[in-house]
Amino acid sequence: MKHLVSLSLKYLSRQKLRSLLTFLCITLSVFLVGTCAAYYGSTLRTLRNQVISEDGSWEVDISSLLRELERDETTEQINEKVDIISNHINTEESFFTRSNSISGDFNTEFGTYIRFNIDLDGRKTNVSDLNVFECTGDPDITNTVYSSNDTLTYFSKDSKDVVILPQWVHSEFGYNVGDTITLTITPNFDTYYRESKIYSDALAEAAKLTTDRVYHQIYGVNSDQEVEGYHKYTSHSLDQLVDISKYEPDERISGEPIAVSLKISGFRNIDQVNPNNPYYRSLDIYTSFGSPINLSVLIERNPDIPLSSHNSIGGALIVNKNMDFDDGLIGILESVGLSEDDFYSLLADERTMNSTLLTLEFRSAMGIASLIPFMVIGFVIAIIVWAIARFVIDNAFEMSVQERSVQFATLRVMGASKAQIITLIFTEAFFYIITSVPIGIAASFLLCKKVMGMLHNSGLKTFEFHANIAIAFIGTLLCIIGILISAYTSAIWAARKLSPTEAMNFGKPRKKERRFRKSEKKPYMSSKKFMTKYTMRNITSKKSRFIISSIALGMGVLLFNIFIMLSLCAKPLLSELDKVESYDFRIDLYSMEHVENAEKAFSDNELFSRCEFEFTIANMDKEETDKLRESLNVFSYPDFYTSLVSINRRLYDKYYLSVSNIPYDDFVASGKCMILDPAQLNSKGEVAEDEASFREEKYVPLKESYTYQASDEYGFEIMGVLTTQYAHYNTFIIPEEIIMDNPDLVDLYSWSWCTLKLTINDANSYDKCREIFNKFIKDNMLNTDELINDNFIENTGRKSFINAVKIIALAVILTIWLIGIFSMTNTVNTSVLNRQRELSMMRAVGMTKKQLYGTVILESILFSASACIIGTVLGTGVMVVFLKSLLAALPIEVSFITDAALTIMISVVINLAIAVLASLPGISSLSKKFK
Amino acid sequence: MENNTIIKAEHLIKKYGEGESALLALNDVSFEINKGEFAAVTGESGSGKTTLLNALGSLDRLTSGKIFINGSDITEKNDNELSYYRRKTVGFIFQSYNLIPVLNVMENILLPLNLDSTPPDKAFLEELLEVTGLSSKKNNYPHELSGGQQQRVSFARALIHKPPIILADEPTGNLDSKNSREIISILKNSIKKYNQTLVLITHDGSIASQADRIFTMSDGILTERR
Repeated sequence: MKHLVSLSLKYLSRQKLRSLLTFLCITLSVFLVGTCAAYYGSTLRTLRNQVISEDGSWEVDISSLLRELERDETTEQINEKVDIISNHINTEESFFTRSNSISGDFNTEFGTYIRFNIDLDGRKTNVSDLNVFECTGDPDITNTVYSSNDTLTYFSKDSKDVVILPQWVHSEFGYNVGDTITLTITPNFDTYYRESKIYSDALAEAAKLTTDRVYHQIYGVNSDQEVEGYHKYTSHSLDQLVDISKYEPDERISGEPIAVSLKISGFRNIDQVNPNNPYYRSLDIYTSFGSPINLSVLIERNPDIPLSSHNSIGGALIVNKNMDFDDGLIGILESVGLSEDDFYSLLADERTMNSTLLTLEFRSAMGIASLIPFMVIGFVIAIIVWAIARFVIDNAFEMSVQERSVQFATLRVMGASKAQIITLIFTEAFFYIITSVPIGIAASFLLCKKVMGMLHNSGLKTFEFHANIAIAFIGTLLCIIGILISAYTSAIWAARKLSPTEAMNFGKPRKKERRFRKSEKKPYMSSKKFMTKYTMRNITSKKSRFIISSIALGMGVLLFNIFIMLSLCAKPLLSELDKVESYDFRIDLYSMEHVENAEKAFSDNELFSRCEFEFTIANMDKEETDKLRESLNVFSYPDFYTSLVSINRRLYDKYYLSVSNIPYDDFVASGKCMILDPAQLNSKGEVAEDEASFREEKYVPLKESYTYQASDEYGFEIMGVLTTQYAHYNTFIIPEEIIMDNPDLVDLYSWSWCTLKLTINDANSYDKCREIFNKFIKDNMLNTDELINDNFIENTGRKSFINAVKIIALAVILTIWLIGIFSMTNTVNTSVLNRQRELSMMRAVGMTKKQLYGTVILESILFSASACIIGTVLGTGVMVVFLKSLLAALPIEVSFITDAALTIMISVVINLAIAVLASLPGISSLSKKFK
Repeated sequence: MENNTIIKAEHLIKKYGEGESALLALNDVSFEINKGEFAAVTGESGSGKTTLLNALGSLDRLTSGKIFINGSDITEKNDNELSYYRRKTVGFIFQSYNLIPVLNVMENILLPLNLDSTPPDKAFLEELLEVTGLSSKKNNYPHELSGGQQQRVSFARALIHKPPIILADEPTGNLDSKNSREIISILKNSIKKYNQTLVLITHDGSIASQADRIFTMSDGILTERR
């Protein structure tokens, strides 16, 4: 045994080229399988993270069950049952929350407001809403579905008497943790008459504090205006803009107060503050279960004040991992007096159960069943990858063993048993198992880790590398099995040889007489024709080797073609993504003062690579829109504004120049605007059902002049209709210079707005940029609720995603390409080595070096060509069946035939390159021999 | 069967192919060879000499017939038993040497012992190296040796485990006359010293004439000339 191992190792160390080629073939094959395993594991983890970020890490939402209990039982009884559930042996983790909110109805039209006066040990303030949140359990399993916020850190399963108050109680009134506070809460129902001076004064303050546009919104929008196609404004009430408590109401109904004493456990880190009016706030109190505050008393005591109350209870839990999920849950239900039937009736709704999470943890039979189609696809891909790896490894071993057939035969003559020959080859297999497998697996997992890390760091936080032990084990096992199968088949082949004479002939004497074709009609031929015929004979004389090598390489070509095809098909998709107008920060500005401040803050700031102001001048009324639609045969949505939007040179060149063919300077010089026509229309001017079918992109100049009346005073002449898929509905574009040069611009802004778009120069300076942006928002008292966009993370995530996809595709293509080269090199080199004696003879009878090398290259090319044909035929089938249906689901136009033709062309070129490169070692060894 | 008989072949038939085109490589061959005898087999190319040698060495299966080695029928043995038989009883020498290229001279010579996990008789090894003139070449690899030296290695490899039977298939076919003489001399000395039996295929009349018995093969039929 020791000597056999030693003999194997000597072969490995002394036949360096052969060992290196076999090692590379096996390592790359393992890398391919490992890559598959690494991405499967990481994809599963990423999906799980996605689910947890969206739904939470809990398994069962028992809110409906708790609500059912709440219907018939008192709060104390519910608390007791919550306690039973959270402490049940079948419960791994749980979290419960109960909220009680009271707010007052307000009516802007009639000038009525409800505010709650809060007396904090003699100091007063007022709030708009009262909210009490009771929490218990493990906050780790909660998320946005529940009350995910900074207060949760104060709670645990055993927390008692916790009271968390708003930050302003500390910052404004000086209370600290451990203090006892007495809150007296009094509801006030105030009425302000529209015609009263005090109301006018309040409105005047609001007008000073905010922009004209927001001031306008105070009045709301009446129903007639909505019909006319105006946007529905978010309702604002006067007390959101000004501290209305400063203005004595015309009428006030003061309610009966409630008082409560609380020992403060902590304060919230931040308060949500209205930037227009920091005094417009709510009193949010977070307590552990069994809160001392009962807000319903406030309603009972104040029947004359229109207070409304909203209660809700919720909970989620994770069942003990050591037991069956269903049995565990039923046990928990039974402990609170429910039955197995309730399990099915109350928790039957899929939305209440985190079924995706259970599926991803392989704990839900139904969920797993729903994943079967995806699992089948994954399984098929894994099988193809494994088959490629198997063929390549098989080829490598066969070459290695065939090369030594005479040596094995000699060993058999010396008395080596079959078992000893098998041991020899298995020793080599073991060597590759302990070298190639760890390296291949480690390299694939490291690359996957790098890619997933890139995605994670770029903002796609749910993307996480995960070395799933089970999948990694299966991948490794498959590789080892592949190597052992290849070693076994090669060993059996080697061990069956007995005579060196037979071994030289690659087999035993045939039982059946080999039938050769009769002699050629023309025994004399040109040297070129002879060389071709000679090469063909060499290949066909080793049919099994030729077939195995061709299939192995063909599978590689298949995978290669699929990736090339996918890359080509993805190109328009990536191009579409590139067309998406990206900016990192965006905010709408409604006053010229804000625009000027923004220019000062950002225009010359080196931290920002782009600072653009897009002016939008609304709007055209319905009648005008209809007229325009009819006269110009363009489509416009009736519910949309018709707006005039300024456009700069960059955007114009990016989206419209290729269609209009009018240079931006000419566009500016014309002093006119263009109307944009959305392209997703069919030739009849109707919205196309199939969004992928775009209308022809074109520009049609207007024959008769038409003026877009932007306002009573200002009109802009339209120069033509520009149809493109990048058009915005009901939009005119006009060079920004025309708007900027308008001396009456400020007047225009009384009813228009400017969108500021900023792009960060360097991703590393994001925090600094965001700080500057925040300062600008704060200094200008801009509304932060709806009008600000921070797309930085999304943008960088998209870029990183595209980069990661490119890296993955490149890595796979490169791996396949290398496997192709090494496998082919192995095959051709073995063929050359096995025929050295024959080739020496050929040289002896006059074969030139050029002819000698030519036959090697030709053999390599013929191998490659057969592989290319197999791969392309199979690949075309796969593309037709699989890719076409997949790509049809994407909103992109794919020129399938062109891409397929291009794929085949690329494949042919690459295969030719592989063939030539693969023949080089064979040529090199021949050139050394025939110096 | 006399106790002195080491090889006894009975009605050996080896047929390649079937039907009209079938080739009868061995046609009812029967003979006996005693211990310590040097038997030479001559004949034209394709007459069946190598087939006979392969059959004696259990390298090839017969169509019919029996071969007794020391009274034991090797045609009834299974693969493992045959491997053991070759390892212990037979030493092969081929015209084309068939050395293992990744092993040096010493490793090639010790190969039969290593396959059997048997430690070498160091004195005998030294003697073999000296006799074959390989003492200074024992760390060289086959590609660093001349044809004659390679054949000497193959001789040493065939003799290292002192097999009772040595089967040599045209061992001097690739050698010049000087090397041929030396090699045959080594072989003769060995069989005399260790009472070994040598079956040697040769085209060389002068070598055949040195044998105790000379057989001639013709179209698969074996006849004894001396």
